Amino acid sequence: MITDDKTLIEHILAGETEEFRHLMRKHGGTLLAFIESLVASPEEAEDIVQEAFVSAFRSLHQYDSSIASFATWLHRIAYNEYLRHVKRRQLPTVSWDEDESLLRNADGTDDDSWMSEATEEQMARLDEAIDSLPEYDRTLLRLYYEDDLPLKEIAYILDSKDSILASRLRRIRNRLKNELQT
Amino acid sequence: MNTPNDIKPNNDVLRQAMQRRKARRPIHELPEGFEDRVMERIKDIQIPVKDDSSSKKKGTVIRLWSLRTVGVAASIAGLLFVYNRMTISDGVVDNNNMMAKTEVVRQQPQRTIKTDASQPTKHIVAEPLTIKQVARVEVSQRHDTDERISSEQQEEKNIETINLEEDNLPDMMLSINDAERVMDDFMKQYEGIASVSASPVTEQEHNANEVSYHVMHEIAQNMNEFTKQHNNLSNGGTTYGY
Repeated sequence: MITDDKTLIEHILAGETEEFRHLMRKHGGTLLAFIESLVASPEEAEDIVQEAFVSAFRSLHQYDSSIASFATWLHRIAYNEYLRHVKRRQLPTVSWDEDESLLRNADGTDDDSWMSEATEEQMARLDEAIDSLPEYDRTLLRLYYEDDLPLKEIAYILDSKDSILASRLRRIRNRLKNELQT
Repeated sequence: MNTPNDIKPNNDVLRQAMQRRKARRPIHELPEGFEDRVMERIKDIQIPVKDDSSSKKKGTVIRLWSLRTVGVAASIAGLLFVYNRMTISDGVVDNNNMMAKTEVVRQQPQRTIKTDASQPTKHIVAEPLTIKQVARVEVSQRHDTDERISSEQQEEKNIETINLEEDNLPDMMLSINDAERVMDDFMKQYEGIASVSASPVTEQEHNANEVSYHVMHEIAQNMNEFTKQHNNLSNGGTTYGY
């Protein structure tokens, strides 16, 4: 069984469409978890991921492994599908500008260092603070800390710049730190 | 500003909190029938051939730049050539160019005479050409015969160049007629001096003059004889040993 993404893609492009199942099995779970963290219901997440895979198959000939890994490329497609889904449903989202002002208010200190240990109570408060973050910031934190993706790949998925995301991430950290200390 | 590595410490509290959130998430697997639904939707989609348009564009851009570079280099070379030619035609030339052109002009009489040897030589003997004249003939012949010089402007430049240099050329070739004429002038001058001289001439001076007169007269006769023989030879007469 072929597990290498590049080889699988070559086979699919050569006409072996069934090989696409392997790609879905390999990346489907991660993709579904990523989208489920963005939307409320699992059904919505499943629809978005399904659309994402169909779009990925349609655009498979445009995939360039020198730009991003296949998983990152899939995440980007899924995130775009999610944005399209939100637009279609006209779900309320936090705009970037509004979000920026919130983060600007959180800029209280340049000291970005964090303690290495915390009590259970502190961890619970931190968890609540993360939940209260805007959706975009939660996605950023998730991709950065949970999926351990480098900022460059996150910037590719979210269609942004890594320098902008680095700055935004620092502000999120400051905000959470302030929440924890109060 | 912090770099991404600075804000991604190995194990601070924020990372620990995020990892705990990840651990709480259920393991996500695709629901049953998900793959089949996707495969059903994609079965009629035809995937286009691998898109190489970007690499083709890059290749085209590189080729265009190469052509531009070559074109610019050729233009610069052309401008330098034209500038060099204009400088020569203005008379401001360096010595090397002058020497080269002088040599070409000096060689031309030989080529012309050799070419004309196959033709009736009466013309050559009757009107021997100096270097200046031969150069002019050569230039006029070029107008008719030299196909390599196609541009009228180029020809005019050549004529101008030669005319500029002609004035500096010495008369290096004396024809037989020229020599004869010089000799006749000398004899007339000698005889005139002898006849109109009012001063008494001593016997020794007279004898010296007589000897000189006879010697010069003999030379003039030999020259006339040589001229006649040469004319006979040119008209198809007997051949001399030289």
